[in-house]
Amino acid sequence: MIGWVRNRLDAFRGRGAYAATVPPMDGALRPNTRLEEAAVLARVSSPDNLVLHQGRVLFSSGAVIMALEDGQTREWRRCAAEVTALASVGETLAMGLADGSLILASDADRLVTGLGRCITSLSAGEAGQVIVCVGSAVHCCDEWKHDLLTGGASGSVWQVTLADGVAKLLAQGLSWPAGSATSGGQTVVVEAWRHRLTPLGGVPLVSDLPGYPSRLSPAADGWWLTLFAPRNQLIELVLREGPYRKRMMREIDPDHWIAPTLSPAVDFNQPMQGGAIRTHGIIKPWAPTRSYGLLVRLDRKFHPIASYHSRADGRFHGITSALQMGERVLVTSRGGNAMLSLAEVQP
Amino acid sequence: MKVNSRLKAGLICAALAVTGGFAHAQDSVAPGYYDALKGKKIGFVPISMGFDLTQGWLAGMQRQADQLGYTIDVRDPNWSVESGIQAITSLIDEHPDLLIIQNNDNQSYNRLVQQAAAAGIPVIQVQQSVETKSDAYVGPDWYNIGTVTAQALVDKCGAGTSGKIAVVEGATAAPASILMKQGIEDLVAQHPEVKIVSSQAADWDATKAFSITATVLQQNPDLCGIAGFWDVADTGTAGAIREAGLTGKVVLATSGGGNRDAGCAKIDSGEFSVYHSYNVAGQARDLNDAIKMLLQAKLPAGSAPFALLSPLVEVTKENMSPSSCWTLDEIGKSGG
Amino acid sequence: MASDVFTRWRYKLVPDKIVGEILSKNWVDNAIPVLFLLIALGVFAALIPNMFTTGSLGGMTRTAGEYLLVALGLTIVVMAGGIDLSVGSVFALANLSMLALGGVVGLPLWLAALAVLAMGGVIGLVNGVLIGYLRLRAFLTTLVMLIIVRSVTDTLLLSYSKQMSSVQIAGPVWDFLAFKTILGVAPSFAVAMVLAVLAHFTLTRLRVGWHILAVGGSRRAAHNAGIDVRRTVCLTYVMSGMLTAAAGIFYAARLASLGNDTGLGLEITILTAVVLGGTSLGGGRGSVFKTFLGVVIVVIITNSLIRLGLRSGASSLVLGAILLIAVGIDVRWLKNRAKLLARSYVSPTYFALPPLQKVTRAPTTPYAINDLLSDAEPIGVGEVDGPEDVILDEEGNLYCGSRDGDIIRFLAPDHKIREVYVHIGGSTLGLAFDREGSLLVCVGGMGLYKVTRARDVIKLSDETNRSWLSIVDDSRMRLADDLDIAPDGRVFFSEATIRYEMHDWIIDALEGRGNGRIICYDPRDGSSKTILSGRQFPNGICMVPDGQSFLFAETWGCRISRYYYEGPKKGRVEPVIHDLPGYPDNINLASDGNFWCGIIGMRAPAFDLAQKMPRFRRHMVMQIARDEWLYPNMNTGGVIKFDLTGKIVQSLWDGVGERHPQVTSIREHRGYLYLGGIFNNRIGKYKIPGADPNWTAGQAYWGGQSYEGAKP
Repeated sequence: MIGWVRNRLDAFRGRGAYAATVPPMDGALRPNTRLEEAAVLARVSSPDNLVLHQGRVLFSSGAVIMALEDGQTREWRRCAAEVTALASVGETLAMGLADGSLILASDADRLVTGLGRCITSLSAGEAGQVIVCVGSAVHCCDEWKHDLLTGGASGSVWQVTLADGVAKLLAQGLSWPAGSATSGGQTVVVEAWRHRLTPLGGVPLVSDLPGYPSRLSPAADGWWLTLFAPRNQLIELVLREGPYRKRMMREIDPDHWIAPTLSPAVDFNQPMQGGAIRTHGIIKPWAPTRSYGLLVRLDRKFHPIASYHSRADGRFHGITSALQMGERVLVTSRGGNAMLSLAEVQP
Repeated sequence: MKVNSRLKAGLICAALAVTGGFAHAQDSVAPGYYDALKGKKIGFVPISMGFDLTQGWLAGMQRQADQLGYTIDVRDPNWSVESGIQAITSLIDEHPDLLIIQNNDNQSYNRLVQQAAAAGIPVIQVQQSVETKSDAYVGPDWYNIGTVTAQALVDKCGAGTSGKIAVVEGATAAPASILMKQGIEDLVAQHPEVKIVSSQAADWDATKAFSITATVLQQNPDLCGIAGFWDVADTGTAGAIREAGLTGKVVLATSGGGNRDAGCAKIDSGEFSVYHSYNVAGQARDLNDAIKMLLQAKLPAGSAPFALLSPLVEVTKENMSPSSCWTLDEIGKSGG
Repeated sequence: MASDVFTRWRYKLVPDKIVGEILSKNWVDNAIPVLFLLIALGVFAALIPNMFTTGSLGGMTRTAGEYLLVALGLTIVVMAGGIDLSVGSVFALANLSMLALGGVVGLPLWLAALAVLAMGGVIGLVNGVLIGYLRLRAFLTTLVMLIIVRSVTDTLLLSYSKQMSSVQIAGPVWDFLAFKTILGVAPSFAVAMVLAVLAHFTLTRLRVGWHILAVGGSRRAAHNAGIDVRRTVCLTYVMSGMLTAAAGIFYAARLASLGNDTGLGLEITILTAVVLGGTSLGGGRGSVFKTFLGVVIVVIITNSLIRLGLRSGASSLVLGAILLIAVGIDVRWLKNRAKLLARSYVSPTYFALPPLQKVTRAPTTPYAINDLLSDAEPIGVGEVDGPEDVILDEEGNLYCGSRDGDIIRFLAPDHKIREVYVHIGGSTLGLAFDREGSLLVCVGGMGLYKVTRARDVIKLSDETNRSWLSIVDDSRMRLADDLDIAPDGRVFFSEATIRYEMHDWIIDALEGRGNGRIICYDPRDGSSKTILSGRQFPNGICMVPDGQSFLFAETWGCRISRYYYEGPKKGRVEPVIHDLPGYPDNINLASDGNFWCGIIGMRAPAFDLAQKMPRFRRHMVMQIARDEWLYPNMNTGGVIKFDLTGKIVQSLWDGVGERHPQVTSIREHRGYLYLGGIFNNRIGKYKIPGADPNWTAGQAYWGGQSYEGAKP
């Protein structure tokens, strides 16, 4: 009874489990402008997933897979639908498409279907295997805002054997799995809506991140983790305000929702928060924002040790993929339509 | 006029004396007796309800009230004059049929007694009386107590002793204390062999009485006797004497309501040498009588003041009997 | 939608805003004692018959009068951060001294009373010197004083009581004090009330009172501010001593009591009253009225407890418990009031805007977005802070308001030289020139001011008529925003909101209620009168050249209306544009007879929806930080030109929003458009293609009778 009363009281006052709070960016996540100041390698429309395949840097941009050679980008391959994920496993390039197909391309293409229309991430598993993250069983990839706002928890993780294309379900009921990494026989899955990294069947390694995490890729001695959008108190509030959220989803264009976005607000029909008023011609870097650029370096145990930011007033938001190339790291800013190159990556 | 009203009171007294003994008086014997009392409301404002005298009176009065069907509304100021005034003022507003008050000093309630009379409420003053005399006074003749207390000391502290006596007074402003002291001083003045070496106020408080006595005994190791003003406070006086190892050597004459523990027990143990009791059980009876008289007579308030002075009983070790003192239980069961 | 209908009526019928408005009042501190008093009255009236007959109340005022006198003294001491425990003993000594001097010694009563007052003052002085000058602890010092004075009283009582009880003070004055009433209350109460009023006046209006409060608030800060802390502290004890002595005199007259329990425990009773009233034991906060309430409560409770016939000790127990509760509530209240206020002041209500028309860069609507204003030539970048309004005089000098209360002037012709034209204070918002060339200014937080050509600042209006049912003081002007001057000299100006101060103006948007009004200032008799109220952030005002009406913009309402102040339609409001896609600000004349209107921001669907869901906004305000709240989008703005039929003739935007993200003000002058923005650091100058290069507003308004002739 007391528990129930406390629960209702918390719900009313917005405290306890109902608090619309966001963890601060502190410690290894202290804001800086290293991402904002990174060199721009190329201006590309919505660059997404970077992979190194057979010594060649490839990345997806819409339905096209581009190659980056000598600082120039060129079309490498065009697919039937938007490419939502890439992974290079040995000889094979695995491609997830927005129509739901998984193409395993080596000498010839092999098609795997039945994984749903929302392949968010691909990564190399144990020898000869691909780990496939399926964000949602309900929504397709570009409906990620819908999935977030409806409290989606229908994602799954699969293991596909390259040799025969057989898919095996590893986990389901996940909240938008958006990235994975396998090391030492253990696969760690990123659950975006729960802001955490969890080994399959284990307890979370990192939780309560201040943004929505997505892909993991190997770093020199650890991992790169991209966070494609920040958490925001107003959004947290909307997630808890059922009636408003439902009407907003029903009545308003998704671009104008109170929801995370990949790119900085340019449309005046988008909601604005008080701290984000342009004053004296500038927006403050610490203004509340629905988009952000954040790349985090994790150690081998997946604990954050350094971070690279493009803040509220910055351009390179919506970081979706990173690729370590020796001393440099290539980063795609999907919201900023840019391919960046970070030079000094040692923390 | 005065004679007339006294006579009237006397007649009523006589009538009561005759009728009071019968549990169920016939209408022919006492027409209107029950009606005069049934359903009436009496206000009672003592100094405090926390000690033997007031408890005893109330126990006695309550017994009669229960029998005759009237109520007693007690307001307890707990030793505070200020609270007492508020209590009486509010009672006057509520207009009870009768008001019984016990005052702290001879001033504070003066005006209230007049106000009550003006409002047509008869007032019985118990134990002490303020300057304004009201319809009835029930209590001891304090001057007399002072005299008999002093007489007891004079008797024992004559020739062959130091002749030194000390007085442990009550509260300086209390009429009882003032009158007793007057009585003592007047009597001692007639006996040059006895002299008062100390006279201090203990405020009816045993602790203060203790410290006063202890000091006096140090200053006057050859002290012959002490005049106490109230048995409850003189528990402290006796304690100081005992502590000085002088029990039985220093004469302690005091007075009180005759409670068994406060009075007779102390006589029995030798702590008190002479004890004058104004007998609370009897006072309760007097109060009851006064109540019955006033409620039946229905005279204009204040028109016929009378007094029922409490007879004094001298209790010593020699003449003490089980009936010399009372307990609250006894009064509650059969007193009043 | 059905739920919208319900929501609309729910917020129409239940005035949620009252809670916050009441909490924002200073007198709300009295709410708890008043509530307590009402509860006490209710409980005891139910328990005790005849509790509140006139006679009963008259009797209570005798006690209350004396208590109030002592409590006044203690309040002053406590407000200065001290405490005086010696009051009970001083009271007893005063009572005794009065009886002795007036009775045994036989002094005339007035002389005896004066002597007793002086004695109280001297005891207070000893306390004061020890505590104020020698910096002893107030608690211990007055505790010792309590014991010493009590001993002196007892000793005197022992020695002289017999003498004194035989001599009675008599006389009509003495009897009057004791038994008579003035207008139904005891003389002591009447005197206490007069002193209470004086004390209130002293504490709230006089320097010494402010010093006392300052010392109580913070000794160190008071010292740093140049207040003689020691003297002030000392003074409070002297006052306490004298007031207590006065109470003792009345007690003596009333009871002539020589009892040795006089004033015993009085300090606790009085302390209870003072704290119960809400005067903080920590000092610096409290009032005489609070103490009055506390005294009334304590007297009623003590009196009622006696009447209830509670036996020995129970009354003290109850009183002690009440003191404990009072202190507890006092501490909690002090700690949480500001928090509570911050959370509950914003009171959203239902508001639905007309459907939002789709505005893009495509030229499908007259509002189509462009980047014309991005090219505006900047003036005074970094030299101005929030030029909400701009205006030019006939010589071409450019004036603008600022956030820091200046009117800045950029000199003609190139507007490169900046000077502070005049400093007013407050935020200088709307500007207009009158016939004589004086500059009339709306100043946020202050009202309507006039700056003559000799740069004298004259206050024209800072209050209007107070409406009866408003809890916030709406006679005061919180946010005078824009103005214009009718041909007959009357000034019509808007007050954007009566619920928020200048720095919080944007929060008004979250309420969705018509909190603003339009006021008319008449220079002929200097009066100000509200002519339109309940408007949603009325902002720009611009005279229509017909001499009968003006246009006004309601920012949060996204509409422009026309009000007739003269002529056959006098008093009527007609809509001109009712469904702007953005939030209108100032309106001004254009050279072609149309009107310019600044657009401060654009409607966002998410915000429009929130306006229809007050519960959501309420939760937002209560649960998340202020910087995170959802606001109208103020990062894109522009200018529209419209005619009196509401047709949009032209629109100019800064689509990128870097130079002029919000436009709050526009002035056309000799072919150029000057742009101001309340969050901006510049003024923009935009060349209007094809505009009359000779047109000025001054000529349009005052024509041939320009102020040139009236120039000094």
